[in-house]
Amino acid sequence: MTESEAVLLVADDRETLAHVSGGLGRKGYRVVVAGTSAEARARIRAGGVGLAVLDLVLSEPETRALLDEARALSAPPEFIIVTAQATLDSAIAAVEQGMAGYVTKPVDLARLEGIAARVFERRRLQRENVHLQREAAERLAETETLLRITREVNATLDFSEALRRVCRELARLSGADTASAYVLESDQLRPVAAYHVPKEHLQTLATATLPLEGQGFQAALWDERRPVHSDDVANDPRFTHGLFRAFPHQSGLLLPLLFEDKVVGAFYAVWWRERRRFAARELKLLEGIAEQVGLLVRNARLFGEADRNRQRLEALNEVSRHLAAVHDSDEVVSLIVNEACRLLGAEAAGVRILEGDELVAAARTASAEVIMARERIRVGESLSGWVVAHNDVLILEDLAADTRHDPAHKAAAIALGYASFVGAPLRALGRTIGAINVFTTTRRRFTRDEVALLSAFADQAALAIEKARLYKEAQTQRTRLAQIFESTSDGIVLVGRDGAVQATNHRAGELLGFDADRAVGVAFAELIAGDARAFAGLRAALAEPQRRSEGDLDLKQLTRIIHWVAQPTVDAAGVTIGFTLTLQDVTQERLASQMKSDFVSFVTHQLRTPLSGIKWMLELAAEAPERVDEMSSYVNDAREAAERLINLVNDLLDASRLESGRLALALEEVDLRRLTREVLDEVAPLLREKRHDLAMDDAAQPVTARADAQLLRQVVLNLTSNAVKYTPPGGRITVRVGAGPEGAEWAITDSGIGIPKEAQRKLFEKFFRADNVFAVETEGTGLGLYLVRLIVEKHGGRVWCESEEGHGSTFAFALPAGAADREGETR
Amino acid sequence: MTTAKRVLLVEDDRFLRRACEASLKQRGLEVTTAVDGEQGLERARAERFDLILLDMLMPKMSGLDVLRALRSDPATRAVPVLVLSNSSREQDVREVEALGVVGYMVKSNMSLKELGERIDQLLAG
Repeated sequence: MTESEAVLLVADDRETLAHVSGGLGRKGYRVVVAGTSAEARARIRAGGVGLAVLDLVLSEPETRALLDEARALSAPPEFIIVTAQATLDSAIAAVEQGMAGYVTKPVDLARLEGIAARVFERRRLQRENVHLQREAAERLAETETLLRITREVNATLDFSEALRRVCRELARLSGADTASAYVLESDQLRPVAAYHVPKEHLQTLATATLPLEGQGFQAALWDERRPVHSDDVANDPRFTHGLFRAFPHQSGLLLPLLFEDKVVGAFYAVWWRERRRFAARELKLLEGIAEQVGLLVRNARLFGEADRNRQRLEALNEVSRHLAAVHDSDEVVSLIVNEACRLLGAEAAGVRILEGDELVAAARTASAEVIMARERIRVGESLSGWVVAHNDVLILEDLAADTRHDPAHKAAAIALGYASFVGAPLRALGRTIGAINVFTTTRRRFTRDEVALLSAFADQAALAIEKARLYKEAQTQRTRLAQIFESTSDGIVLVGRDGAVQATNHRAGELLGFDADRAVGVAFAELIAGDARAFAGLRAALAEPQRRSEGDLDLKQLTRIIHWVAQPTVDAAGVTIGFTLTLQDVTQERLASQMKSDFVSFVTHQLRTPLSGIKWMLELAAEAPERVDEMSSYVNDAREAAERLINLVNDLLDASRLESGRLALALEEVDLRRLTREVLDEVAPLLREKRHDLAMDDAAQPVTARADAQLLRQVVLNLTSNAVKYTPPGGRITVRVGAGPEGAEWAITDSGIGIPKEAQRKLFEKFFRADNVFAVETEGTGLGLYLVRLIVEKHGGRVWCESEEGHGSTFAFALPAGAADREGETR
Repeated sequence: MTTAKRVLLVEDDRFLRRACEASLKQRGLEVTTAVDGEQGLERARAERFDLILLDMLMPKMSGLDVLRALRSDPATRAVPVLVLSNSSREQDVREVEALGVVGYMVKSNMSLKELGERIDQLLAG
């Protein structure tokens, strides 16, 4: 082992000198000799001595001077005393003087070497200690610097401010005059911050990008990711780029910023005049800092991206809100194309919607009108067509350079100066319903985020379009249903479980007498509060909505009869949620059926009366066969009753045939005057009996009518005999036959008691209610006047009555001259 | 000797009127006739009767109206009324019975003999 420090042997005794130096020398120590204390002092002063072996008897002051000399050094040598006597005192003295040890003569070499070894070992450890402490101090300084930088950087959210602070720390640490920071963006190292830039170079340093290619430091910077420095930039072949010449400087240090082993930026430190060289350790420290900053750059970029994404999402959110508020189809697509431009910062956008196998242009920004000039294109055709056919996004960063698509379709866009295109399919509910096209005037590489944004937007747009379409359909349906609801001739009311009206059409309001426009929400029971009795059945239905029920409402005040049906309304789950009331005006039907039943009742009575007459008469006749006169009178009455019955049946048949049109009129020219006279002759006996005065006014010309003679005779006979019968005895009857405005007119006036107005209306009707007594004919068939009317009307004529109570009556009819059967002469 | 029972017959049909009158007289009843409802009411108020036979369907005043009048008039209320109708409509029967009659008979469904027996029954009880 070689020791860098020497052993100083201070002795004047040749023997000792030889002995000790030999021994120590053999052990590998370097020995230097001093004969006097002055020499010793000098030698110690010169340095490089680690241990002094003292074999010189020195006075105390000399010894002290020697020791002082030694102690003045930074690494004072240690002493070993060689002494003749080994007294306790001398031992104490040695220790007190701080000796490393002492040996007695004759010198025990082994012992001496042992002490020497320990001394040197001690000294080595001390040296190591110092070294370690220095390193620790340096480490600490580095850490403090890093910490400071990190703190500085984290103290601001502003990326460029953070970088500026780092530049400052770096400059301070490395002693540079100026430092600038660059960030890698799209293959360029763009300047972001700078520190202490002289005014004259501000512009350059602030805007110039660091060159990436063709520089001597290429390999070092990019491939090896090592710092590159020079202390003579002007003459350094690596720094030949114009940029470095633009601001002449002496030394420069280019430090790459790394993140995960990739260059994300760089620092450039400048010494304008100083020739700066770098120790390895310094560079290491700087690299450590650079790595931290690389992390910062990366985080800032991520933050920036995240922030941009957040902004985009917010924009998307806002767009969704706008879309949600709009229902109209046109408004929706219009909004979509405008928002698309805004979201992507594009200049033109358009939407095509799928109709069958064609894509129709639904909306375009003004700027897109020429590009998407064709109203309709087929699926697969053009850019939109491709998007729909492939159901995928299409990105063309350079429209002009693209060769995959038919140039004709892009010609318009290119001609107008559009450079890039991105299109996305519009997908809703699993179907592709169209495409959205976006054009930009500047060439752009659409980032993944932008494309994702467009897709997300497209999906929302598609949903909005679908929603608008469905809304319109729903509206159409609703309108149609409302039309059906209103146009039906039935009244419909939907009543909820709570008894309130949910919906009603106007017809229901008409039928039940309420205002349909104000009925919704009102309790149905309130609407029908009017006639309690009439609505009783309907009210009962309200109480049990789950049962189907129906009934009739006889609304006297509205003079109508309503048939209602209440059906439970059931929702999709099968729960009864109310009932649906259908109302029909069955007034006519009910009246008709009532009339029929009344008629049957009437006819029954009219038939039964003569029948019971016949039966009883014959019963009486049978009881008294021996009383011949009595019997014959009974039989006679029976016969008369039978006549009456036969007449009734005949009338009924006639009426039936006339009503059904089965009676054929045998038309001929009938002389009304002659007919009348014949009838008058027939009723002459009755006239005499009732002592009526009958006159027929004479007109000059004959009055003819084209009619069925037999039927006309029936008419005249009926009216005449009525006049005769219902005029009190001694009355006056006048018959007039003439031509009038309506044709041939015939009238008979009597001086009877007259007929009240209400009864006049019913005179010519078919049947009579039981309580309408005036119309009940005791002697006749009850159908006389009705038949008169049927016959006259079948001839196209009119029959009427004029009468005033107490002043007699006039019955008259008119037949159109030469009348023909309106329904056809023969059947 | 018992006094003959007095019956008022209100019937507009002359055949039925004649036959019924003859038959009842043969049974020893005293019969007064009226040709319509007005006349019937007049007679009912003017004289005391043991039974009124009332037709329903008549001119000028229906049997129902006559019945109502008879029932509401204290002078005639007590007199039993037998309705002779040729209608067998339920509605008519109900209306009549509601007013309180001793019977409702359909003329064409019975003989004079049956009618007479029924009347005897009513007058006896």
